[in-house]
Amino acid sequence: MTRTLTRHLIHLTLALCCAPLALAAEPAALTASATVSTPERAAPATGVPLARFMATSGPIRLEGAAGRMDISLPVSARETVQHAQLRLVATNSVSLLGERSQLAVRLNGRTVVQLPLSPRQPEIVADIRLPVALLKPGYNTLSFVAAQHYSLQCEDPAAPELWTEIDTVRSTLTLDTALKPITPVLADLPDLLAPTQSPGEILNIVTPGLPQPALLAAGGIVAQGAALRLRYLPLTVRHASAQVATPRGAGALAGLDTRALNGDAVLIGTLDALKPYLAADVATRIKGAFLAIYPMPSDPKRFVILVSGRNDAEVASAASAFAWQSTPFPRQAELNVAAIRIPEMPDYAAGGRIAQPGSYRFSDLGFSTRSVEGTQAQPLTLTMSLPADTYAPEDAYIELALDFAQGARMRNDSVLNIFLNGNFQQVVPLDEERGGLMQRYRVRIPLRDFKPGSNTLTFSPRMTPQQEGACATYQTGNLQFTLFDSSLITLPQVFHFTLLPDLQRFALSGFPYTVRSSGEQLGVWLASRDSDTIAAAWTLLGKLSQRKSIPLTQVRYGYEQPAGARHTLLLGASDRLPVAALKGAPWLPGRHFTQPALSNQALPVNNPGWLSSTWHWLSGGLRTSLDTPTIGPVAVDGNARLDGQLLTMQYRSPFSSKSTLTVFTSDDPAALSAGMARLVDPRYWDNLRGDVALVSQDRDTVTWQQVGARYEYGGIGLRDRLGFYFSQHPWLWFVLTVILLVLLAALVARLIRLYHRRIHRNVAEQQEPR
Amino acid sequence: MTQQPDRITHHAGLAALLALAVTVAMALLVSVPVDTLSQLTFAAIAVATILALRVLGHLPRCRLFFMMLAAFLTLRYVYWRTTSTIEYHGVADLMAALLLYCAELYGIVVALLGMFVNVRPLRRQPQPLPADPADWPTVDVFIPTYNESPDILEVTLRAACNLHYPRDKLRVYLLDDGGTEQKRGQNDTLKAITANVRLMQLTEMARRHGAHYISRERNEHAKAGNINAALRKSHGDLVAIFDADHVPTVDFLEKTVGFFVADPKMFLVQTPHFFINPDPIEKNLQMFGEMPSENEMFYSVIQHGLDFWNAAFFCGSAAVLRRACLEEVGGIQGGSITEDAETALALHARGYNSAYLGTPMISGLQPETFSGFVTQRVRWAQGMVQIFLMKNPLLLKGLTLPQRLCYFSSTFFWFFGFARVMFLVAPLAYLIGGLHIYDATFAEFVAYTVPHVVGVMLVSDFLFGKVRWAFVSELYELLQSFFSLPGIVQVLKNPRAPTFNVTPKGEQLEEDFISRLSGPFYLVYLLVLAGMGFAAWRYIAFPLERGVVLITLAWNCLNLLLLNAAIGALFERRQRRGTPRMPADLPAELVLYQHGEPLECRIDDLSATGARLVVPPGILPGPRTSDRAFLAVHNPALSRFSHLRVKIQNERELDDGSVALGVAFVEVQPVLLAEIVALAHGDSSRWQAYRQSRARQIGIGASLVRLGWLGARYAFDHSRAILDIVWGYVRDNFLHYGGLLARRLRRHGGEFITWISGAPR
Repeated sequence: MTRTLTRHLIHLTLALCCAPLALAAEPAALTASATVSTPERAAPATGVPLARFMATSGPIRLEGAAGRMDISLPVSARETVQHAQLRLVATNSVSLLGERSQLAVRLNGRTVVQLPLSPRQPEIVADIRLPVALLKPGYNTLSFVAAQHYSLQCEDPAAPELWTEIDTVRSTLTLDTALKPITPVLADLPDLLAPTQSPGEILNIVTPGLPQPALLAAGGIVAQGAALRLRYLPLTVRHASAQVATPRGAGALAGLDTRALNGDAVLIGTLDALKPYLAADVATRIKGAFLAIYPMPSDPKRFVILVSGRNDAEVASAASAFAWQSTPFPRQAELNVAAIRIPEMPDYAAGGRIAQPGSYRFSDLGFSTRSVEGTQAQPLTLTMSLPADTYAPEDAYIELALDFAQGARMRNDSVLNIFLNGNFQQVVPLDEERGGLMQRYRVRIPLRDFKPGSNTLTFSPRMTPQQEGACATYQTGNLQFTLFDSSLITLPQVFHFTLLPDLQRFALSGFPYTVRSSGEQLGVWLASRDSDTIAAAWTLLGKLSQRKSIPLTQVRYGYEQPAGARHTLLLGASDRLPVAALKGAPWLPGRHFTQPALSNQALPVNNPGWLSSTWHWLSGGLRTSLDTPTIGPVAVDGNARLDGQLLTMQYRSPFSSKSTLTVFTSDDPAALSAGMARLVDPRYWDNLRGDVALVSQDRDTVTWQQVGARYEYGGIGLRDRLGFYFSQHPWLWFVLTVILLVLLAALVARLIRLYHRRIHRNVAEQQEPR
Repeated sequence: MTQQPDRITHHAGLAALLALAVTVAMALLVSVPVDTLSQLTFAAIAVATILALRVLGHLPRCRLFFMMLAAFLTLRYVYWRTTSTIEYHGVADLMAALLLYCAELYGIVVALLGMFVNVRPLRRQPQPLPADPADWPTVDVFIPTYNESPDILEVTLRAACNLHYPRDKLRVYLLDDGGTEQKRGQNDTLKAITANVRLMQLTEMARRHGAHYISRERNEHAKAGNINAALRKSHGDLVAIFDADHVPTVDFLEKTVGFFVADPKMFLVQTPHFFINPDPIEKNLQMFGEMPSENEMFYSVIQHGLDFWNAAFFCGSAAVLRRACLEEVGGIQGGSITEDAETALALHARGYNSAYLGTPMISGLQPETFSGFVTQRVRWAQGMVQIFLMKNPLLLKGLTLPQRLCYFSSTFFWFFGFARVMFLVAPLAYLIGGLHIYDATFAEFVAYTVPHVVGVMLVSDFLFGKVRWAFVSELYELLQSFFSLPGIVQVLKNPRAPTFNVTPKGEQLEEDFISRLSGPFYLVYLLVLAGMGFAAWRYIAFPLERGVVLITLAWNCLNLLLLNAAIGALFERRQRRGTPRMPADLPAELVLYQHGEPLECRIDDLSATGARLVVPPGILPGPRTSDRAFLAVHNPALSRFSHLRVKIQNERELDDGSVALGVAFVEVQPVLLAEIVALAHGDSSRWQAYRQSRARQIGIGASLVRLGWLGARYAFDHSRAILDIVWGYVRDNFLHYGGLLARRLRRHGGEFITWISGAPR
């Protein structure tokens, strides 16, 4: 069967944010990785704009005598590509010399087509059939390489008229693919559940009846395991109750009716509960925690993973084994798990994250030694993540100790520019005439310039030859730069202290729910017992684990309020939400809502005054506050319904002042499940802000606001807490200091008087003023 | 009665506990990490509070609070400086940064210790003696001498014999180390003869005034050895010690001995050293009499502060000591070359008490030349550093905690040479050397450094403003630092190496000249000037560093201002008068020879050799046939009239029509000398009044302007003298070689012209 998939490719940077684990596993894919997501599986076979494959918006500009741009095309190992076509729409400079200028399109390094760049016909529209034989499973590189000249003689290779522009909206890529029949083993899981797979796939988690808390937890772990394999690709989970096949079929899952399942599935439950759905020989092989994979009885291109055991604990162990498996091993369909030992995880642990003070090698953060050359050298990128609640004192710096090599005889204005999240921060002059190896070159960047969560450090070498000009003979082979992965990044002592609620921090890393790395502080509270609410919870947990990059195996699930002071995620239809849990909520669906008095962008800026502006100039701009004042919202009491929208709100838990409650709700369970499927899409998830966010079906973005009271979270010790307060209230600091000094002065005066009385009791003193 | 001390102890313990708790809380506030803007806000409010208290005149009442607030700003600075401003930019940078940091820490420790020492100065009144003189202890007066002239010695000896004390309980000894057997028998015949003559002269002088001449066999252990030798030959209960040029007032013993009677554990009563001549810096900057003398800070404030903590120490002269205590520790200590402080330290460690009486009761001489001044100060610096190293007060057993801190303050202070040189060189290290020695932004500098500096200066001005103008300390320290620093290094290398150098005094300078010690200052002056040029270059070439450049430039400007004053002070002014005259205001009658009528006049200034008289307008007769006269004046020290023979040496009409007569005392017999010495040096109230007249506060800004102006003016004189020398050298050489050339030309002119023109011979 042939299927045509329309691929919605996610922004590269979003992918990087989503999948820190990917950094270590496949660094090469980072620079141009892309993935697919579409909610509509039956979309017509239209091409996908090239812009969806790219990290930046706007057209591709190929500049200079040799311009080049690479983009990545993901292809799933489960699929056979039957047809691939590129529609290229481009414009070139009318100053180009037609005889010598051309645009080549290459796939994985092989030239697919050459197009002349003519000044007389500067508009190019070309339909290019890409050889499917060149497409391999994984990430494929599609390159646009322009050779551009304006003269047959010597010329300036950086002349401004040397350009070609590819329209990334009108240029499209069409891939027709078909799933392959499979005979799966457990070692195939990394290919079967991979970020290169078709987007919009739904994972069915099948349980015998509505799951009880233990099975809910195991299902959550399975959902996380699947989501982690997809790295940054959103995973939508659906819950289904197992149906007995009538009549029984063949194979390992002879008793399971899978016809209604539209996609891959995981069957999960205890041996006793699953016996009706399993072949007798399979049931006899379950002697403990059991993990297996079989073809789906109703569709051999699909698979069913069996997660079982003789009791709930063994089921949980099997689910954990699935969630933690990351290597293609073992090459067998079934595995009896005797025990699983998970290492102790420090708090804030996550892939690519630096949380503890100390020095980290670039290699530990997924950076490999890379060399670049030439005048238009590609920037080198290091991505690292900070905990979402990092509180940086003003005098805290992150220090880089760079190991790099530079070429010789470069012009002395050659530099290495260092950008943090796109903002220029520092520069290293590459002015060693004789070139050389520089070790531990120290660069400091204020910690406050880093943002919580993912940060991108970009090292952009700008190297210039000593001779340059239209007719000068020069070479660029000496313009070499290598950044070694032995370079260090040093994190100073940081504190974990912030203000909540903040859905942005939640979206960044699941904060504060994922501070404890196995999810010990997280409770999931389902307000109703139905498949849609369960599916929504599992989908959400899958997303959180992707943010964390490790499975949260200690999460407590239930249909009641979680015991203890756990941070809680509450999911349910609005009319099923417990009233007690809504105490302190910024919105009460159906009864009360708020809206900003002024939009966030329109908040008035106070005139700083001469003194403040002078100080600002002197100090180079200081930020003093973690929080910023806002104008209160307009509150409306009324019977407004959500009408299919997903409402997300975060506030201090009414059950424990140290805990945070985040509510996900909609009008009904189906809308909740659908809303959650949308929310985990990066377009929505990455725009979560404030304490109230609305996801609507008809909008491509999240509507958010900050209306509730904020509260502190974390601890920075007495000294730093004082520093935090005094930074905002220096008068208070002064008054407190004066009070203590007056007290101290009084006590010292008293001590002096007593000393005088004891030592100089009989001394007659002069009365002149002291 | 025993309950009261218990109650005091109980209250003290409670208060100390509470104070400790508050101090811990304050330590927390000191180390609170806040944003720079908040720090600036806090510091600005604090400085404004201090200034408001100062303007409103509440500082004396809020003394402790004020000092603590300033100390808080300083400690904030220390915390920030330590944690935020020292970064590695290379080995040279780091070394320079650490040196500057240590220098700053030194200054801060000294400032904080200064606050502690002066927290509550104790200003004693004289302790009355028992009514029955039979109960008074016997006193031996020691006047140790080495090479001072007999003229100076005779005045001191006479004044010692003038002391109001029962004759049977007072013995005066002249301890001569210039006439020892070793000196008299030395191989250099001329020096041996001089020593023999000296012995005869001084023996006769002592006999003439009723004193005793003591000499010894060998010159061992300098002044300490001299006194210890005399201790073995005398038996008085108490020992009063006066340097050869320290002339006591008649009431010296009356006001000091009472302390020993009242307190059996009293081992020392120290009084101020009061000088009647300017030190070379005062003299060369023409500041004597206008600003408080340099030693005033120590004798008018710090010793009172030390006295409160029972840590006032022996200063070598103008003091009375208990013989028994001295003998207990083996006499005056000789481990260091500041034997006086060392002796006091040893006796304090044994639990004895000291007292400081702030009434000036001696009049002494300071070294006249800068080299003499440096000799004296290097000895003090080396001696105090010896004590710091060999008998560190923080470790010495027997001292109380306040005594430890006080002695530590007194000895540690003398490391100022290191700090001063660092402060001079540090801005140059950045401006010229480009070293990064202070990692801070302009904003941080304003928020942390400026308030700290302002706070310290305000405290200093509050504590010492009347007796030490702002930046005067810096000038004196700067002038000494180039010489004391090598001296200190020498001690650090070998603590027992330094030897006692006698301070030269009573020198007469016939003409102005440039001090031979000026060399290092020229070098530094040129470097600082170069630093100005480098600052301009850096300002233009490194726009991102402009804030730092401006700060460093301001620092360099202050250094230049101080160096200007130093250069001015190194231009030695002539001083013809060996015995300086001090202001007086005594009614007198002048009877001119061959005139007969007593003329009412006032004595305007006075020394042991002469006086200036001011005669009201119109009463001085016209042409006079004799320059001799009688002067009748009430002698306050003796409470009777003294009749003296004088010779009128000069006469000058003043603006108001009165006539100033300069007179010299003539026909001075021993009895008359006693009268003159008592008149000129015997009245302590005169010294007290003079000292108080100088004690005036002019403020930090005015002091800076004054110093800047004087520095510029006298540095100009100095540079003009250099130009004169250079010009003289050039002129002499020009004349010499020009003459030679002219003679040669005259002799060979024809040949020369022929040679020049190229014509054949």
